[in-house]
Amino acid sequence: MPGLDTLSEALPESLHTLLGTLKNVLVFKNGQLIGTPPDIKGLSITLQTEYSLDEKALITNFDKTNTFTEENLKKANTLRIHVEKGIIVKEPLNIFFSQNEESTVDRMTVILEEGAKLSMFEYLENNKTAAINYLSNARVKQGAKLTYTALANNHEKSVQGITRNAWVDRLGEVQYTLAQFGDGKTAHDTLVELKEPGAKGTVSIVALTSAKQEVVIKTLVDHQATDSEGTINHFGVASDESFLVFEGTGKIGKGFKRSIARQNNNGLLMSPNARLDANPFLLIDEYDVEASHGAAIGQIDEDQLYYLMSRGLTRKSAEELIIHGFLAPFQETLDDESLNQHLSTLLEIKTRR
Amino acid sequence: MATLEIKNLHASVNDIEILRGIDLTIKGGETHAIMGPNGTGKSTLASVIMGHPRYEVTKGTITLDGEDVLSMSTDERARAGLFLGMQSPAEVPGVTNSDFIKTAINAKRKDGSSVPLFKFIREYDKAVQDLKMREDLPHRFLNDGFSGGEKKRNEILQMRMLKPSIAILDEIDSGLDVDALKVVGENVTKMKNDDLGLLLITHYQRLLDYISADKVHVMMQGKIVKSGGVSLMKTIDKDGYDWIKEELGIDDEKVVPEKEEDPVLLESCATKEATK
Repeated sequence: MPGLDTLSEALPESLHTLLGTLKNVLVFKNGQLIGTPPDIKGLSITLQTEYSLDEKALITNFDKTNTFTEENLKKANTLRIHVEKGIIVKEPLNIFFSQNEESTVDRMTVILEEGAKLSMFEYLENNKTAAINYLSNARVKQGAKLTYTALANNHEKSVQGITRNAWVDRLGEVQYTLAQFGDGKTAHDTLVELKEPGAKGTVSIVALTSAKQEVVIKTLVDHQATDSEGTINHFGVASDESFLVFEGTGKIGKGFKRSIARQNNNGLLMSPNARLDANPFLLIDEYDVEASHGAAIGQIDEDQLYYLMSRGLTRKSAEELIIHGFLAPFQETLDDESLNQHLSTLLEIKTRR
Repeated sequence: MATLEIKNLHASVNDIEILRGIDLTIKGGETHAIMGPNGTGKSTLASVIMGHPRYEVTKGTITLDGEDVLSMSTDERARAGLFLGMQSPAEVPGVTNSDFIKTAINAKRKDGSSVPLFKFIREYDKAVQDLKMREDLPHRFLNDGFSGGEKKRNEILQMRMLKPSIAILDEIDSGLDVDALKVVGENVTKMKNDDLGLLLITHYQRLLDYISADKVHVMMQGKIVKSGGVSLMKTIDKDGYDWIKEELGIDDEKVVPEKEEDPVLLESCATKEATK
């Protein structure tokens, strides 16, 4: 692992405490790896500068929403993480993507061979006006499991497209837990393709919007095999005059029997001028399936507030506690205490204004 | 020693007057019980004392040690030492019981410091044990998915942790089976001391078998119509409320006469009609 000083220099001060406590840290700044990557048995980290035809096809096929021009594709390096067959990586891998250039493309490919297990945390950060394209592709092969937790915290004057795709094979599983906490205008797409029987995908997203921010979150779980199971959970808190959209889709094609598609949307409106739309879609072309979808959007429940206040909490801290409650499903997936602390701090900053 | 003084209290909801002149003084060390049939304003009184936003006080005063309670917000009342064990506490998913109670204790501390963690955990665990609640309670979400009895016990647990000077328990006995009632009764009795003023609101005398009261009040038509000692409670237990109504010439004890519900047309959307 590279010296802490080198890594600290590459990242803003607010992240230094985190850096001090996390193990297996990888920093990727302006398209370049900082220092040497951590050494983990059975896991290789490489930087790709050339693209195979296959990979180019991947991007153009699965990322129609993002505008990857030939030119910025050429500039972009891909961080490639590969876990060998049957390897179970015990400690999480922590990856920081940091930007202080005006326009960038960051790309990551994660490949889990058969039976491999990896838990990773990804931090996207930038601190000035920028146009950012981020694309992360994951290939989860037979019986493998990827636990993917991410936190995006971008500058208010940046505009970003964040796209994450996963292709899951037989009995494989991907679990996305994504926090969209940034201040900039964001298009956020997540696609999970359950390609073979027994594949499983869970996407949980927490999004906070404030000021005049616009954030559109689209999630698609595409069942392409029998006995596949997909879950989408969207949690949102919209403050000020911000606008947050959730569009979740569970899609089960004909013949993919015994598949399960579930979706839940929960939203809190913190101001009368904020707007939060939830569009939960189910596209089902098969009878023998289980599917559900729901959405509950509203202001903080007055009964809950009264109850908490009747125990001495001020209105403000009662509201904060309730908003914190929204994060519970997200924080459950984070084992690291310092990471949870960092998240709470960001949450407070974001909802206090 | 705290004193809660209620004088000529009138309160209404949606312009309908529910409380019509309540006078009541509760001192530290005393236990009062308010009894009475349904719909006579008992729970409204509890909510008004705690400052529920739904109710509007139109006349009268409430003071705690001379301080004007009515000018305080709900949270200020709690920090001043009032506690209300609610009839149907809200569920707050995502907020754990221990986080909540810790925040509440810290909010009450005047010097702005936090409660020492080990002391807190020790006290909390002991309370969970004494109330015979599930061991994982601290990590469960606040009242989320709790049974009626669990919610009630959780109210008592919070009262024990927050150590109020005046505690009102609103129908804490409803929804409890005999065993749970015994546990709750024992725990409340154990908390009694010269600094705690207790106000129990109940339909039944049953609760008072476990928590003894010094004074019993009967509420009808939004007023306290009769006050007395334990003997009053015993008479009510034996003879019901009718003799009081007769004595005072009250026909209908309820504040708001029950309206007949408008029939719901089933051929139109029944749920829509019913929720109008």
